[in-house]
Amino acid sequence: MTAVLPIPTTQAPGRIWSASKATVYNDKVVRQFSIMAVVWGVVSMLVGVFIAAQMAWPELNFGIPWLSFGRLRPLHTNSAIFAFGGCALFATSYYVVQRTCQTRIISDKLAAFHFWGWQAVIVAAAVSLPLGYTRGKEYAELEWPIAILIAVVWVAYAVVFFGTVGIRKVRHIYVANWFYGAFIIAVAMLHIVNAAVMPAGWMKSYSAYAGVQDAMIQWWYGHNAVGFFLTAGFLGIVYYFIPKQAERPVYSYRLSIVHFWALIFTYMWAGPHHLHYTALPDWAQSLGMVFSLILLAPSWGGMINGVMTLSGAWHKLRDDPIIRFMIVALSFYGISTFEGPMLSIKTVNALSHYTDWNIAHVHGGTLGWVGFISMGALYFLVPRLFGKPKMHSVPAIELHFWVATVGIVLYIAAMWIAGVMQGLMWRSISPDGSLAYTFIEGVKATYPFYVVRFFGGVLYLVGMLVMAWNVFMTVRAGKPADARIPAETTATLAHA
Amino acid sequence: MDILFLLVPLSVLLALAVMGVLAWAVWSGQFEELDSEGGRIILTAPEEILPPADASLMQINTTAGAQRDNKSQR
Repeated sequence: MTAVLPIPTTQAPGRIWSASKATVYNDKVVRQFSIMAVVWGVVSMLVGVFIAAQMAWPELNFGIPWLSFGRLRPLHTNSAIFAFGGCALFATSYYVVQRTCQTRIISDKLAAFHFWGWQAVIVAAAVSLPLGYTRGKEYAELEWPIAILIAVVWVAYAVVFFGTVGIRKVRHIYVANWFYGAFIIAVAMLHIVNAAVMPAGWMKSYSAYAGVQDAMIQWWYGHNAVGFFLTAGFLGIVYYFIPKQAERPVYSYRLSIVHFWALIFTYMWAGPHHLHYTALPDWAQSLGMVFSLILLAPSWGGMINGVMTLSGAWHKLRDDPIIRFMIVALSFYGISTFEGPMLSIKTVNALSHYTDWNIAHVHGGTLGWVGFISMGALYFLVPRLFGKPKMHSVPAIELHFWVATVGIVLYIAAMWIAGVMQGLMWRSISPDGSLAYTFIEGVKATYPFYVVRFFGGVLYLVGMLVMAWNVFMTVRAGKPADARIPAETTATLAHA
Repeated sequence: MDILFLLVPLSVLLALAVMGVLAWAVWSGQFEELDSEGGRIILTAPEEILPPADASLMQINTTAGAQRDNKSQR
């Protein structure tokens, strides 16, 4: 139990380190993105809970266009994915790339531009979406001036990240960096191709593609955004923060390498499963289904690899709420990556498509996988970034975990039942050949499940508020702390 | 489906680029000592942190250790 709490050691002569830039990591940008991840997490979940309430009680529109579901829903998705998820990815990637390369990031100014540019994008989204400005493409709603800003900021991010890998002091590139790198390159390409538009005024544009071509581009973008933004990036978190928190190396480092290459070689063609039974040619739909099914293998390989990292130390699952966040996140990754291929099978999709089953699937992935792994990583980061040995309140982490877990279970169970029920009602035929139910009967039958979903969302939001309080108290008690870069000789010796 | 004339070549180019990066990684020895690389992030010494205000040197142990300690205090 020695050396657990911070011990101000007496400074030995000749070992007085100044906080000059060459000797410490740039943790300022990590701190900034970490704090904003928590802030945007609260905002996005608050909007999510509000629109969940609107689904149950549509009067909550109040007749105000800015508060209508159609405008707030993209605000919820954009803030959850790109503001909360994005900030968590940026914070962790800057932390990981510096530690594993044992060098400071290549440019502090570009990283600062990345941070402020990204916040500007988020604020622009928060203003323009409720005002009704949209390109009408799911997860790519932001109009062209904002889309250009995203591209510019993203290039700055790529330069900092890959530049830092380029000046690394360790020859081997740690596997987490490969995942972050693939995320950065793929998202840049997807965004640029899908954002190709002809502007028609400052906040209006028309897609460069038309009809089913546009649909194909949109879901090539949309599904790969799931694959590279919401999967590859967060797998980078898995491969660094789970070993660190568990204090043992990843179960099989070789398997993690295979996981990476298998995932990026097979991901690109899963998109057409979003367009089953549409004008998209049948063979393209089947191709999308086959690639989606193939994806099960690398996904589960990675999931098992991450969970087995705890092998021999399973007691940590009981003792340490942070590791529990991370391992439960991987369980939801496993559930989602099983459910996804299953839903992509055309016969299953015939039942599930356009129902709330998809909402259950998406939120298992976002609340369970993306949310929990980000929260676990943030609980790891915040005390370290502010010179504290641990979070202000460990029982509060415990509380957050259980409240959020119950919230997710309520949410996805309600939407699973609602989705299957809707699918069955829509397809049932009376003996005379007419549809057995009108659409509104399906909506009416879904009402209780929308209420349960709302309460599940409230619980998840409460958990996030507990986290925000805990982070605030930790930050208030601590002060920004910069970690020293280990001496170069240590790094090179370790490698030799 | 003219759009496939864009998407298919793009995917082929991407797959070739990925293969190129994989070839570089293999031939430049990235995967030579995989048995030890996974453990390096764990083996590095606890980080020394410098609070800029008083520049006193502090060491933070791992959060897991801190929590064990926290438990014993309770």
